[in-house]
Amino acid sequence: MRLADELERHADRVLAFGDDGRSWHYGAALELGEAFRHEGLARRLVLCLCGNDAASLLGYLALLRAGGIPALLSPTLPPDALRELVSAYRPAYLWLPAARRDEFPTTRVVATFEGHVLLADPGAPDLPLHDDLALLLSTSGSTGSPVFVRQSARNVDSNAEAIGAYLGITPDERPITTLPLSYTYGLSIVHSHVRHGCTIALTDRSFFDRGFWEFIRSSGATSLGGVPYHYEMLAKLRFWRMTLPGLRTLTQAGGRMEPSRAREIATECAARGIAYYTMYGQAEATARMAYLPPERAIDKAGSIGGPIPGGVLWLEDDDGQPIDTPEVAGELVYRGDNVTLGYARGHADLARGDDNHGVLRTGDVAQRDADGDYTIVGRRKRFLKLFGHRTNLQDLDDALTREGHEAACGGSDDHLRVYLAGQDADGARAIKDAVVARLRVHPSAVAVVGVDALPRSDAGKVRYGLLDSLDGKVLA
Amino acid sequence: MTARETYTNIFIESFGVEAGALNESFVYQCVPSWDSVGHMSMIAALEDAFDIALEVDDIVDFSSFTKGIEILAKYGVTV
Repeated sequence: MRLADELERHADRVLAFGDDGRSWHYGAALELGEAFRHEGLARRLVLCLCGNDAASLLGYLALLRAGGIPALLSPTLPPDALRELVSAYRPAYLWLPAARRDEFPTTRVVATFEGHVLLADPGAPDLPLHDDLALLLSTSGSTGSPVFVRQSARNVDSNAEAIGAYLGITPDERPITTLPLSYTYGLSIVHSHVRHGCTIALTDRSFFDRGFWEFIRSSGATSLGGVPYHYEMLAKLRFWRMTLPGLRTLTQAGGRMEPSRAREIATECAARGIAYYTMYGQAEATARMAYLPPERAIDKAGSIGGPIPGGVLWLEDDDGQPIDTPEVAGELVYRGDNVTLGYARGHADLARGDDNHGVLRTGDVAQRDADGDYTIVGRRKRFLKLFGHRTNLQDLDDALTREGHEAACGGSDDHLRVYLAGQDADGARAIKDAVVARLRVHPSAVAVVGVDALPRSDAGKVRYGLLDSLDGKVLA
Repeated sequence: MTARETYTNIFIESFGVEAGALNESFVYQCVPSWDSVGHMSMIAALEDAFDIALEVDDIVDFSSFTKGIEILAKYGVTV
């Protein structure tokens, strides 16, 4: 990976400022990489629990340097979910907080750094990994789903380069961490900045922590990124009344924002000389596929703009034919070097090559205006986004049906609604608890709604399009 | 319902905890559900229930069950 090879150029630069006042140079990640290389983890799978701390960031870059294949996961992943992933993928190594070392008693500690340990599993089989495989990212955040997206070095390099080009990233840019490192958007911010030797302002604090706002000032952060929910929080905090002279860039991705909200943000940014970028992407395309530049952010609020440098976007109708007429909706399709190799559901898939051949059918329905800018208008598949993470409604329905419920899911981004036939309040409470535990989302994002009956076609299939217009009572 | 009951119920609803857990050691991020999403929904529920609009400093200082009682007092709400 070029990104890892080129870190050497920045050895004397500061890689990260921590919110505890400490800092780490790129050289420290290079040294750790050497230690990992000696351990012999080149071309071996390494499961990594990554937060926004020095051990996670430097450890991750060191793994890339050493030629390891990291699979990134949330540090809050529960022990049983982590164990399931380990048995599905049989990693040779684990990089995780020392506090979780005891979850793997048969492994050996072979390195330690800033509270993390590298565990080697002497019993791990030497499984074949495809030569192009460089990195695995989870598709569903912290739910512990065993599905990963397989990314190549070319995917990572091309996307980081394209993002750096359209954001105009220079070595003096300093992003502050607002998104998990294990989340494709958060990782893309790191990738696109370390290429340029930037310093990352590293914190795990949230917007509702006073320490975050002290750190954004003391660290001299120049940019932050957020999913739509982050912008809801910023509005609640009357962000526009704050004085943050160092802040030059705001980016938004991870889900569709209401055009009125996007316009409001774009207008506030323009008044302060802050560049505001709406962006669009998926883990299946490494991270980014499209962006709307700040110059058009107000006029085209709600649009995702056009393709990133090096990428091509187009629309296809139901027969797979390209749509050339403006303002006609069709499935959004993308071609570019950042289209990933495909999915993995277990270790056998890690030997697979390129399933996608550079073309990604996004599953999003969009239309293009006469200027060539795209706007997402719907989805082909039944999913919604909960705080930036894709949630497949069909999977949820299937699980509910297996558990014997007559229920189907609908709602909107950040507001999942489970429609349950009947008015059983106790049952509804149990379903809500189960869904919250399964998705690991906040309970306020889930409502169980009692309805007389689910709308069905003559053939007995649930008519999903009618769910959200049903009269119902929120039971839980 | 007394103001105290309203206040306690909002915590129970927002964070899915029992009333017995609500004391001076019930602080921000002490349970997974008191994350930024939970904080936002709790603040919104308090503002609705007591018909107040919290200042930004108070939103970020609202770091525990007990601290919240002090903060609400500034808005004339005696919990």
